[in-house]
Amino acid sequence: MFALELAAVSKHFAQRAALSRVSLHLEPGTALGLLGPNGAGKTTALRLILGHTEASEGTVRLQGGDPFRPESRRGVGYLPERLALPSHRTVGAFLRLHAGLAGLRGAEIDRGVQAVARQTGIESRLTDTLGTLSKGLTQRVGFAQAMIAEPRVLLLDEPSSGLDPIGMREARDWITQAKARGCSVLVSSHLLSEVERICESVAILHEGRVVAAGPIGEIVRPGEELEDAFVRLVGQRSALSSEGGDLG
Amino acid sequence: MGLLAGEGLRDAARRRVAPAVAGLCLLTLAMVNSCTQCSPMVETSGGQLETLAVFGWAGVVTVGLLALWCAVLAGLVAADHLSSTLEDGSALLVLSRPVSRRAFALARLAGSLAISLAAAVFLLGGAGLLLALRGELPLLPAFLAIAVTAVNCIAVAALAMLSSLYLPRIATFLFVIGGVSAVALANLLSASGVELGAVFGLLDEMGPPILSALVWALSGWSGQVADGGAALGILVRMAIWTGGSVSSLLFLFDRRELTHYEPR
Repeated sequence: MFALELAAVSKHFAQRAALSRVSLHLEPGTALGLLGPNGAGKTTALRLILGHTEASEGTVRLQGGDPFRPESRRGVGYLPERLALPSHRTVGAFLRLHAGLAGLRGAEIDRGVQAVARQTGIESRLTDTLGTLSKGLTQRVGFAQAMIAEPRVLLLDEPSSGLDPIGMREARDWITQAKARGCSVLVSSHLLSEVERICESVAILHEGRVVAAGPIGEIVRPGEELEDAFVRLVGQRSALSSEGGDLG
Repeated sequence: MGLLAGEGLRDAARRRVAPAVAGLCLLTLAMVNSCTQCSPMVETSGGQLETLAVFGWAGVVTVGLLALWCAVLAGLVAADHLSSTLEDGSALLVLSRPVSRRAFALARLAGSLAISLAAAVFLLGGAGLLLALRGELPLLPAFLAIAVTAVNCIAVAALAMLSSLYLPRIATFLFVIGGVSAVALANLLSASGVELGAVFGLLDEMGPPILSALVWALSGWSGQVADGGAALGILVRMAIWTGGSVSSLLFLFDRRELTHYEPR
């Protein structure tokens, strides 16, 4: 069973196709990078995976189940690109709420909050109100809520957003640690170098279609870096698209 | 569900409207207290009115107005208690957890209702107690009025929350104020024996019996006892509107696309 799977999924908003027959899957215990320029459909794909929206065509599976069913989202941690936190709540109260929603009970909640706060370096900030935090600290809180209760599947939308170089390196370590304990990770990011370090495979989206998918080693040609392959694949498609070529 | 309801309640209590409602409630009850301190004996050209008649009708009008205000308040508070969490993105984070949309919507509804129901119990209970103590009125109609108002609040709040998923905030506010006023006016005109037009007739006969139910609840004070069939009809319509509005909210929120909500 895949950690998540999209099979020939299309999503239309009015007349616009946000995704067209997208197929991809995430093997358990691995990390998949979801890449693409702005508007490629990465966030729409994540929202389909989380059941926030319904596919116009095709099938979406999360941990083998329908993502609209709450049970399918058990053991899933999600870090959205634009993190909206309740500014009046303290970091601790916010994390305790998400620990409870993630299924922890009683003393497990405080243990879970302490563990994840220690891991993300916000242990001393648990009594701070969320509205007073810097962007980098807010992103750490976002990571903490996503990683609370040791999720089996992590969905990260631009996880490096707002983090300084040290924070980015730490975030990479947190993801690596999660993978080491068997967590499957989907990372949507523009930072190709980060994705290259974290993920075994990538899916490159462009204008709602998968233009390349597979292990990084198969997509990147000898002498190339992932960024070169990305520019080659997406740039090529853009050129064809502007000439009215059929992208299939 | 408990966690979500607690969160919904905390969010409601934190809103600027909460202290305003509390202040307004105290002020209103102080006014009711002041008004009920005067002598119940009223001299008219036809003689002296009975205490029960004066206090009874004064009680019906006072409690009726307060109950309508509570219903409007329930709608206004609910109007953005769910939609604001979708707009600021916090709902999407919660709905990424193993939480059903129905549980989330119910929790938000419960949180918003806490304010209006607390106001209803305080205002109607306080006014009813003052009227009962000073005018020797029975307490049962006040209790019935509180129960009827609570049910009205649930229906209005659920409808307001539902419309907030599709309408802009200001349109939802106008829908609440206009809707409650129109239904109450239709019920009032009908109770006064005025012949109603098609729209008001439909509102009176098919709409939520917001004022009709209150008039029935307070019949012990007004002395105008409704017949059993009419009372049953009112109760059945209340149950249908309340059950229907809550069910519609849950059903439609379950199927609502959440993608067009972007964090501000």
